[in-house]
Amino acid sequence: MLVKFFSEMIFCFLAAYFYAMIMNAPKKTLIYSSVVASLGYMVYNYCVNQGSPRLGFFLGTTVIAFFGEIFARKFKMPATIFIFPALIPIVPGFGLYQTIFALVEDNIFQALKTGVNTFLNIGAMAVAMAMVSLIALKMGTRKTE
Amino acid sequence: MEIISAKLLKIIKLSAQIILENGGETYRAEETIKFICKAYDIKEIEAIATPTGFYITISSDGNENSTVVKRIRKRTINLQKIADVNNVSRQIALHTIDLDEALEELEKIENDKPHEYKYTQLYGGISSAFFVVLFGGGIFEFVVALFTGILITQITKHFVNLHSYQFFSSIVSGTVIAAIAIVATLAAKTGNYNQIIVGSIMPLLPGLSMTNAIRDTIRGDLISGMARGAEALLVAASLAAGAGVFIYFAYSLGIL
Repeated sequence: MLVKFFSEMIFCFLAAYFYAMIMNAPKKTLIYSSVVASLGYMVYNYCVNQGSPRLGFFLGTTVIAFFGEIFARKFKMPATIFIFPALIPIVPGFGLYQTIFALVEDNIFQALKTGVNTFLNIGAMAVAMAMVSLIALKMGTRKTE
Repeated sequence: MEIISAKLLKIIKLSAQIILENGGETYRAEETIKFICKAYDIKEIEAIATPTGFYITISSDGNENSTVVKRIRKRTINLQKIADVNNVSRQIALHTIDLDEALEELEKIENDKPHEYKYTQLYGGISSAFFVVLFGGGIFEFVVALFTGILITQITKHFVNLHSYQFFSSIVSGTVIAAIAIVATLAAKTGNYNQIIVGSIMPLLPGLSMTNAIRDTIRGDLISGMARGAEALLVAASLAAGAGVFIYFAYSLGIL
């Protein structure tokens, strides 16, 4: 169980690292955004194992956005550079795929069910991101953003 | 004063353009414009940025206005360029570089490609492969996704160079991913094509656009929120449609 947990964190780290490279992230931010990615994924994974995926989307994104803002301050770079590659492993791609697969199978009910679920999960992620960036803005230390 | 405001307008136009063309948020473009102008005591600044273009009006004395309108046509993602523009705008605000130097820097950022990593195709493949493992794939799925990812990164890069619509790029990528995944699992008589398809699609998903769309709408930037939402929906739907076409094809042939 624990081995699976940590191996998934490492896979997540590597996936985010190389994804950040495709997106041309600055070299010195690669490690940090990947660490943020695996931290967020760990929180998400824990919540999914506890049986509440939507809370996982929310908390995972909160963690990612929070650390993204911290590193943004530290490196004096936009927070997006850290948040964007880190968010990708959490984005509900599997839900989207299942929706389409259900449509192909002509199972409209299943498609609607997974589709609405996926949309709500994305909504949970957006609310988390908006919340953290609002708090960061109110803290007043933000300069260029 | 006249000369300064003309140069300043050029600088803020270029920086907003780079930010929007390389995947920056609209509010970042607006804030950067305001941030630079504040350093030069511009009396009135109005900036409206949307993902498809922006309008800026500045007035240095409060009487005469200068306006610039710019249409944004290509939108890719290049985080390095956003960081560079951020850096330049910081330097302008601290007055460590003057306007001529800033303009030169920005032009260099826009035209040069010094920061592109080598072998991006390979990295795309590795990224897809690890996403597959994350979704529970084994060694077979890993290898197939590696090659799919390399091919897909090559295809998307090619479409960017063609300045073609993102719709076609996504639909072709979706079809290619589904085709390779299904054919490979059928040929090898082992493996799970679902995992390969999802893992390979992951790097192409408009995850940031989706969350940004809702975030912009929450912030009150309704136009850019709707525009980003439409973009995200278009990309996701065309990816899914591309994959769906091949899966449907395989279904109706009875090989799935």
